[in-house]
Amino acid sequence: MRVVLDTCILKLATFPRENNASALVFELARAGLVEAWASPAILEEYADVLGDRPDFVAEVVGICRMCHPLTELRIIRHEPDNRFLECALAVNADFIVTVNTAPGHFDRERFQTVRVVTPGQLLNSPAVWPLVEKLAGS
Amino acid sequence: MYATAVVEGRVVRFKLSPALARAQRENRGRALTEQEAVEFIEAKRRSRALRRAKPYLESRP
Repeated sequence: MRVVLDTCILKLATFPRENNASALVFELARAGLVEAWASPAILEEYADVLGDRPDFVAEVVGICRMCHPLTELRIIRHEPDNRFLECALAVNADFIVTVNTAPGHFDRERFQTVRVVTPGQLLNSPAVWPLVEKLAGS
Repeated sequence: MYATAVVEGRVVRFKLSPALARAQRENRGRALTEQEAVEFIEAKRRSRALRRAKPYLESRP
C-alpha cells in the first residue's frame, strides 16, 4: 500500500495526544507496513517545516521512497498542495493522508485513483486494520 | 515510549521511534489542533516563498 503524507501529518505526530492517529500512520511507514513516498519537493518541505527536529527529519527521509514526478500539475487551487498530488499520481499511490480538506486544498475524496483520507480514515480502512494489529502486536 | 490511537473503536498502543518519542516528550503539555497544524504549515510555506522571492524583489527598481 502506497501513501503520500501531507506535511501536517508529520507535524501532528510530534505532539502527544490520546488518539494520535498521525503518529501511528508514521510508525506504520517506519515499520515498512505501508510505503511512504515523497518527491524532492516534498522532502524539502518536510525539512523546512520540521527543521526544529532534525533527528525526526532524518527518520522521515530514511523511510520515504523517492519519486521524481515528470509532470507539474495545476489541479489543486492551493499551489503547493500539487507537489503531493504529483507524487501520488506518479507512483500510483492509494492514499494521500492529510487533515487539510478545506476548499482549495485536498477538497475532493479522490484525484483519479488516489483517495484523500485523514489519518483516522486510513487507520479504519479494512486494508490497514490488519497492519495496525501487526504493528501493535510486534 | 509508547503512544495510543483509537482504531476501529479499540485503543491501540504502539511504540514510537526514538526521534518521535523525543519530540513528544519535549512537547508534553502542549497541544496542536489539526487547524493549527495546517496554519503552521501555511505560514512556513509563505515564509519560504518570500525567502525565495527576496533576491528578485530586491533587484527590482
